[in-house]
Amino acid sequence: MELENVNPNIYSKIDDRLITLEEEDDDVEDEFDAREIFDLIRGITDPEHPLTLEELHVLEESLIEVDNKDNIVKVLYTPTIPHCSMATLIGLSIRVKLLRCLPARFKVTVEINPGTHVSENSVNKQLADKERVAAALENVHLIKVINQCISTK
Amino acid sequence: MDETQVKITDVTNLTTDDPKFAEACSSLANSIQSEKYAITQLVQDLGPLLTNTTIADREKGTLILSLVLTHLPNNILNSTQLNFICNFYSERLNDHHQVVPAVLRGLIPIVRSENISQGLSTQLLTALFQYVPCQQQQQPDRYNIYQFIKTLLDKRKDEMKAMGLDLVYGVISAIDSERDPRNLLFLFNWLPNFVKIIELDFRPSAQDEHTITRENLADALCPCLCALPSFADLCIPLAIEKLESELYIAKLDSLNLLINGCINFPVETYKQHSSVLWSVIQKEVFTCKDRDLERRCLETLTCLFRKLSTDCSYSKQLTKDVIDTLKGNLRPDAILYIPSAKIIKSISQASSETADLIFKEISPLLINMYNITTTPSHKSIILQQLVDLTITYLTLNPGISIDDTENAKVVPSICLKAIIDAETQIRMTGITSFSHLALFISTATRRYFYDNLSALIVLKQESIVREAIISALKIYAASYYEEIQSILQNIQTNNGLESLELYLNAVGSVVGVPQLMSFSLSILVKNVFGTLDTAVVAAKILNHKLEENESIISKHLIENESIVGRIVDYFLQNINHFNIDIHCVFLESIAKILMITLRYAEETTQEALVIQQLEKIKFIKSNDLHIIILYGLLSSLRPNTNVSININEIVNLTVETSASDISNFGSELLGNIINKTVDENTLNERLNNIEMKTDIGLQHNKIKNAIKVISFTAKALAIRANSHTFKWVNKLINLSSEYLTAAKAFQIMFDDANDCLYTKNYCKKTLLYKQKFFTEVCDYLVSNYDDSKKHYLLILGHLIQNVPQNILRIELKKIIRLVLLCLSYCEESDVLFAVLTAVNVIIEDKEQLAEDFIQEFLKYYLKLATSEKSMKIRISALRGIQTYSTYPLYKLLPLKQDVLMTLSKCLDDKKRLVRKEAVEARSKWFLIDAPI
Repeated sequence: MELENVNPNIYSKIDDRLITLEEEDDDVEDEFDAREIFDLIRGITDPEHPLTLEELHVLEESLIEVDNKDNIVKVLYTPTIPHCSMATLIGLSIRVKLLRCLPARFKVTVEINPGTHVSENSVNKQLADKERVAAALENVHLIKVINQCISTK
Repeated sequence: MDETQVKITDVTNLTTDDPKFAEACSSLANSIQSEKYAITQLVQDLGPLLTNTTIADREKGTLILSLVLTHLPNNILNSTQLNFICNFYSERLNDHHQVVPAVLRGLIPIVRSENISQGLSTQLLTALFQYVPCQQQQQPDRYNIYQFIKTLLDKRKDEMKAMGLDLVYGVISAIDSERDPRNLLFLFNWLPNFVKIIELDFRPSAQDEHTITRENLADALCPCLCALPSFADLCIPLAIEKLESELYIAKLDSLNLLINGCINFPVETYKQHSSVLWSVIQKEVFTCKDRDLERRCLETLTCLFRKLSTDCSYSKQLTKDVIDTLKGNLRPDAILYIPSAKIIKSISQASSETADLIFKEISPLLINMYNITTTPSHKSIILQQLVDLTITYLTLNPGISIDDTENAKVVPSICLKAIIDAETQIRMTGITSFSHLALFISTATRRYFYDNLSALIVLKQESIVREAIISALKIYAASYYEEIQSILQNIQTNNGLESLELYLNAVGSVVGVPQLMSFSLSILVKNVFGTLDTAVVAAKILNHKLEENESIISKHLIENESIVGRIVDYFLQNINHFNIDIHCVFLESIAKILMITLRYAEETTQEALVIQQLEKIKFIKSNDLHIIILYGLLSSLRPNTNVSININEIVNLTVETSASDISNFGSELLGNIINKTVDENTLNERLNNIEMKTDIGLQHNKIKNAIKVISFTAKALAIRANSHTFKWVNKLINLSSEYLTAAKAFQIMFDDANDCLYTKNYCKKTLLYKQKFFTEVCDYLVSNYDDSKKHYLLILGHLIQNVPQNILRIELKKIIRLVLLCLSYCEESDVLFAVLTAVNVIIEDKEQLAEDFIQEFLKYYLKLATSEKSMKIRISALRGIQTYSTYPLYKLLPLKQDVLMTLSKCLDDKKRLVRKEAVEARSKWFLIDAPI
């Protein structure tokens, strides 16, 4: 298969999160924050390249919002090129990864960073539609690709 | 004649399997050699057998003749006899297949004979090709055939050449489809004269003792393929085809072929295929994820361009083309930057011309890019590449100095600028790069660097920069030691202890350079005997350096610095200023300096030095600190030295002291002494002494100290496998029902951190003492455990903490019940953690027991992961659950849903670090039996 984007720019990865004293203290409660969500999904790989979404700047920490009290997580992602046909698949991978790795109390929204993709609305709509997501996950071929993307680090 | 007549019947009456058969044949050969018996007579005597209608008899007759021939020297048969024998053998090749092996054995000695006339070898070989289908014979017979052909080619080369195509056809049909590895190996080694590409399809069988691996075969085949220049036209397209395949091994083999081909193949063929080769290898480097394959590709490129550089103008043009192709990728944020940079580096290493061309073309680009880039990580990658190319350029063009070329001249100054950059990473790269250039830098430029270096040495820096500085210092010291000595001498350390420490560290780092050792040690020692503050810093560094290079430095310290006496004097002078709580590390350092320097002295020197020092310190007997200096002086004594030791004094001080550090030193020293006491009576006396004092200590609230002494005594005895061991261990087991520290003492049994009980200190260590000790204690615990003895679980936990994994594995089956009980009852989080860590390793190694008890382990693990108070334990349990996800599917599937359900609770753990592990575990369990 011909690659859509042959020589994408890669960016350096951020360092691993430094472990603070509070995090090592048994008595302090650590709340979920944007960095934690980012750490969950930054290792997802691109379906086209053996690169992580972080290295391609598809995901950025600044585009993640977390509200602990109201149990809301919102993730925006930026496809590498505006007509990227993989955008839905990438979004789906992020959703599935969060579905498996976050406590059930959170309501998760995954959307394209506004203005970065030609068919932004339709992709967002698909990702927000629970039934369509569930149906997509029934598809063996699709879940295979998604499992591959989210399993490698 | 009668005598020999008897002999021939002797042989013919034996069966061919009889061990005496070969012997009898050899004695027949001897009689022919000593002319008691003629070969013609032998043939005549064998006549009835050779012409017999029974196949077995014919085989036997032929075998006798063949074996006799084998044992005869090369020159004994004349040409008439050989003529006759050859004719006979040529005919026999057409005999029944059962007779053929015996015939084959006779062929080699015949053609080895010196008097064989022209044409006979050809006759034999033609008969062989005509009548004997080689691949239908058994392996040893095939081997004989190959040997025969090889001998013919060695001995009768011209005659063989005259056979022309018949020979080639015959040999090829003989070896075609050979599958036995032993024969293949023989053929590959021989075939460079005579090549045929053989399709390799071979897997070594596991049972074969003399396994020949696929690599052996491939390695042996490669020289065959590259043997003659004319093979190039076939081999290179083959290599290209294999390189384009998906198979990893095929790729590696073809790269090997291309590299080896560079020796013999004509440059013209490489030229003809160069553009295809370049594009295939380039593609491979850009896409491959395997380090080895990438390295091999790059090596191939180097060899290829080296080969091509014999044609200067062609190689220049190709290199230019390559540079033009790759230039576009040289943006540090592009994904292809790193592989492109690697390719350029490899090609520049090919020859002085490519290095020259690439350096001139690429370096301005890199310099420019370096100046306009702002991201530190990108800047350092560019600088590294620039320095790599400069080094290659200067190494391959030895006539050129770095100041001769415009572009090379600026490289050192770029590095010097980088050294003072604000960004850590750039500073580090600057220093490292400059040290790589060490051999090429002019004296004047080095001076600039030294100015910077002397400032940097005493300046506190990030650890990566500091490491770079020290390694640069070492590299320059190796080449320019006088210059480094002079800069180190002139550095001022006025800014307090921190800069002194940095300075001494730098001075210590060059101790490994032989010319600087004396200088470096003299500065360190001077500071050890300075004020107390400088001594604290210097002693730590000196001790560290001693540990790195014990024998040489300690010899120097005793001979040139009389260190032992000086340390004791210094200690006595300052004893009132020492406070064990503040100066513990310092006191430990000087005790260890004493211990290590004395360790390498001869017995008599040790004796003289130690007795002299003991005399000096006897005035401070009542002082606790006395123990520390004794620790330094006595620990490394050789066992037979005649130094009287007052054990009473040491036990008293150790048990009575209120400082726990002193009791540590004391207990270790006591262990050391007990271990090295050779005489049985003295040992008993000393043990009684210790027992008495510790009993008193236990009654008088010196429990911790007493337990420490008991545990080190037990350890010292266990190490030398003494019969008293278990008595002392029993003491500890009983004490642990009351005191936690006694259970904890079992940790030290396998802890190798106690330097004092090293074999280096001449302690007696028996083989497998750990295993013996562990088995004995475990047996005791397992057989005596009941519900009232929960402290046994604690002891087991502490034991497991440090026991070597292989020993634990042997005993695991026995103690698994206690381990499971420990996981469910133990409340000591340290112990629980130790047990979890040990069990985790066992789960990782996929021990059968871990698989058998998967249900039990997972049950406790999940309980610990959700409910345990300490996060350390929750994390450890989750790691175990992660590892279990790689176990056989049928074991996991029934448990999958439960595990996933329970793990979802852990996803909301209050600690982030626990959640991280829970996520990892849940992701892994989700993928069990999932399509992937």
